Amino acid sequence: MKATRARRIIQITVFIGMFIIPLLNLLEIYFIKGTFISMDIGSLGIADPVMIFQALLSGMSAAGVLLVSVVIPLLLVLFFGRVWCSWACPYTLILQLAERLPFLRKRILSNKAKATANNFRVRLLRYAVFIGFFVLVGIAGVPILHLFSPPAVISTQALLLVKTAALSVELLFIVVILVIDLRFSYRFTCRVLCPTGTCLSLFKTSKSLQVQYAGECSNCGACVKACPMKLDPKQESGDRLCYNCGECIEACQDASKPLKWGFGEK
Amino acid sequence: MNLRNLLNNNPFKADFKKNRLRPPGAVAEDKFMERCIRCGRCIAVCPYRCIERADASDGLQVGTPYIYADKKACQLCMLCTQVCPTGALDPSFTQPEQPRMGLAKIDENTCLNYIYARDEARGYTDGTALYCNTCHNVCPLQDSAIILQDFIVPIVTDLCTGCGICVERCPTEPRSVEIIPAGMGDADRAGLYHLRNRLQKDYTSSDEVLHGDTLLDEKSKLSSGEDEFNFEANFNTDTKIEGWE
Repeated sequence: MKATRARRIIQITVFIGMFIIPLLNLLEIYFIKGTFISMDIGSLGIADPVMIFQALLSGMSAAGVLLVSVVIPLLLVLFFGRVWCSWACPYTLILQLAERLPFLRKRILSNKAKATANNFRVRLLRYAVFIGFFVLVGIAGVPILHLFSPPAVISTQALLLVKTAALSVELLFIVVILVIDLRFSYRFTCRVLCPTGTCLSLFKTSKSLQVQYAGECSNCGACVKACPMKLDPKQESGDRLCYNCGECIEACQDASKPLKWGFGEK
Repeated sequence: MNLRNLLNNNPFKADFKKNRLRPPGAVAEDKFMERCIRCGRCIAVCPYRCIERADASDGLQVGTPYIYADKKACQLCMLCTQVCPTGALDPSFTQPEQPRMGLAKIDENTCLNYIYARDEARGYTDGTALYCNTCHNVCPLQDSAIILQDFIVPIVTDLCTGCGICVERCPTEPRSVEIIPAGMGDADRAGLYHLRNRLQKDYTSSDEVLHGDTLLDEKSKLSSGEDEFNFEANFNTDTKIEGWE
């Protein structure tokens, strides 16, 4: 099975699961509960690390905070990299489906061509935005990143929709970043804005799962063209921006298969 | 530390409204605002759908859980305290008597039982008096959180959890009982609410709430064993009815 298809199946499962979980709660089945901010499966706590870290900052104490719940996401990142973003995040699914709309196609291709491949600048902007978010949390003295993390907003709205049959104004944020991503700047949210993605990528190491480039190839550039993060898989496969979607491996036409999955740098 | 104090005194962090409560077991409002990551787990597990999510019109409170006592009051099932991931709702709160979400305050001018008591004292009625007792009947901590003084006047004690069921069920219009959320009367913690209502009097330190010894005195009067009532019947009760025994 192609990685893209497996990825799409997992993404859609997660997306539907977002609505199934509150539905189960309505039927008073509490085995699995919560949103992508923080979730319980059985007695196993799983939380978005950036949400827990901001609560530590605003509360200035670890008292009562379920620090254990960040262990599973961080282990996932340590072993497999930022796979949440490419394999599960509901916003990535929505964005990828929207990018397929025929009337947007031309605009997106030109945006992608225009987007800077200078990843030093992207990285700088990304960390500046991330630190900016935490300064904002510090000034407000209140955790506010639930308003700026796309998976958090989408899953909260799914909960609201199922539980109260209503949506709230925060959904506008998703509309705004969709317009930015589709109209103005290619994948701005995933590359720069998203605090969840930035936080996860900080825990990636050089030993994590990544795309490895072995030896020679025809340098056709198909992988560079395919990369949704505007990276060059031949040189920057271990970059923190890479979210392990595997599209470069699939795009590669070379018979010797120079790109493949592997742990650590080759 | 000074910078932190300055940042922490953000008045928008604490805003209060009557009948708008935090879920049971919530820590003090400013601590709650710092700790709550707005994950919505308490909203997800609430089987009575009484916990609602604050929306953007609530300002900095957006995303936090609220219980609107006049819409759907808390039923004290205590499921939400067990699911909070950051301790904004204290997990040691497992019994329905434990939480102090607020304090019920009964309006003596409109409460039907108070009117009844006043009318009885002065000897005539203008027709609005009614032996209502709804708040006493629906209270989950009947005879400890609300007691009936002289079997007529409902009095709130300091055992009131502030669940708001009495508010939800109060039959008068406007409601004669409202919940003052915990921390609303505390000038140091009431932030925005305090700035808006600097001149308003402190509701929570009201004398209407019974504490300590006065509470015990009033509760001891509730037992019907000591007083013997002499009912004078206007018919003869001595005669034995044939066929009985």
